[in-house]
Amino acid sequence: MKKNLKSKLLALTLCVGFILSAAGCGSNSSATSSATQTQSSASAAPTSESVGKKPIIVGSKDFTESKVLAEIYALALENGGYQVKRAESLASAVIRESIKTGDVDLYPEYTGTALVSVLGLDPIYDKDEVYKTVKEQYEKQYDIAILDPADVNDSEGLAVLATRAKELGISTISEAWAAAQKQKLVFSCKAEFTEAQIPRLEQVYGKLPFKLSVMEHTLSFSAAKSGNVDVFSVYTTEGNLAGDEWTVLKDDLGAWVPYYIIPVIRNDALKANPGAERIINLVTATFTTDNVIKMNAEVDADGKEYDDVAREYYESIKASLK
Amino acid sequence: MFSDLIQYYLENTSKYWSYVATHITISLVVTVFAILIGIPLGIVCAKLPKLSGIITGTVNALRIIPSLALMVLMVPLIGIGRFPATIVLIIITLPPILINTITGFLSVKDSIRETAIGMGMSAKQVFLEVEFPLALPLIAAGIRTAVVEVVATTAIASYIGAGGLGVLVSSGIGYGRVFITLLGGGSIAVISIAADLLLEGVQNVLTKRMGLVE
Repeated sequence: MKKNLKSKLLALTLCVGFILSAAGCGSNSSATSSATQTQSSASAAPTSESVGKKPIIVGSKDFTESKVLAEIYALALENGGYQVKRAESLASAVIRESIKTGDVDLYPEYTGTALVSVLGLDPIYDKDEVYKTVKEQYEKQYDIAILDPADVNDSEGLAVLATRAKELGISTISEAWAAAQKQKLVFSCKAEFTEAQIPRLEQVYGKLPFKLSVMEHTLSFSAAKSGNVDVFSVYTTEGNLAGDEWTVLKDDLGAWVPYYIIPVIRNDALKANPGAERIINLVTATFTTDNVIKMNAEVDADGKEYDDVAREYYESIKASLK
Repeated sequence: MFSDLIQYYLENTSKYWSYVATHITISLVVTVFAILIGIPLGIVCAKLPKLSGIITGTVNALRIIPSLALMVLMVPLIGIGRFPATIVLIIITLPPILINTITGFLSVKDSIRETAIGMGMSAKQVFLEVEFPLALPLIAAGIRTAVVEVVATTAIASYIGAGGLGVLVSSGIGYGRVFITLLGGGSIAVISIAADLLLEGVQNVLTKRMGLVE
């Protein structure tokens, strides 16, 4: 009876998630349709310990990076002998509730999102402090564990063409500011960046010393290549940054809240599945900014399926998970 | 929503007016160039029907490419900013001016032209004193259509770094603040209407001065 109610709730949550994400992002419609079906694992080796147990429900948000990372966790757990169910492509607003109700047991979250959007706390700009705060509060408020963070920060950032950065001798945002005071440099970003991010940058680094040029996001990359733009705004793990063509400037004074990848898992799921924590932490430790960017690019630029990219990655790290 | 809009305006007054100034400047420059190119080209087409097909064909073919695509295509060729945006906007603005000029001149009846010649007017006089004034109302209508179009289309110029009120439109969409989009879009509409009314006035004055009654 209770189980029945629970599965109804899950279906409802997924429906809401589907509607929200379909409304939020038209281009994702093909991906979101899969959110309505949670697939049970076919490839899980049915070992004696997994039989009859409640599966670990691995969730993901409705964008490439989240889906790929979640699928990697799911594959690693399956191959570790755990039963896994998937709940892909949930809207951010839905998944953070689903983990509290138990409709999702595990999903990749970001420290900044957990801090600001889920806990509703004031921004903190030190990465370790954000992690510590989020971990403590999740444990205390929701009885949810946050495992080891990946050394991957998916936040706002500023990029420069690598050759240009070398020419200007800049590797941090402060240095870019200093360089722009000596010569005319062009800064480009998409329109909405001017609303919240530029004021924040000016607050931390001082008045914007660049000539500002507002343009469509991906256009900045080609404009930088052709020499029309020097410094431009990016998301630090986006697929467009793949390759060694670009230098992402270090946010040395901490203008932005760090968004490090953290696996968020329910404590009851951890207790019911001893050993899962170790596998998840081992997987997380393999993530680097470069390989996450590469996986994002394979899906967004090369048009591969996210689960194929995840499987390929999983195969490459499989040996190190033992 | 409306109070958000007002508050946003008060906090960003100078930014807002610089967008308005950029928007109007781009539109104005584009219109002037489109007139300087479109009218002579239209006259050539009207006088030399053989060339007409080629010229109108080319202009219309360029117009078929979606404006945004055309702008993005310009970036590798001539970079970002106001210059490529202006080029693309001129291409977009040209057809109504060109076609209305051709139609205007072709609508002058041969009988009128012959009468003028019969009265002893030189070719120059026929052109300046008879043909041009008679074609003017249609040319002016073409310019009005073009201006309304250019003011609206300048909004997408913000995608390639040209600035203008399009920045507010896309900013509001990306940032999830509808009132910013409303402020940008509403201002574009107001400029568009104002420009149209202004040109209507100019058109009326011109028509009267030329001694023509519509």
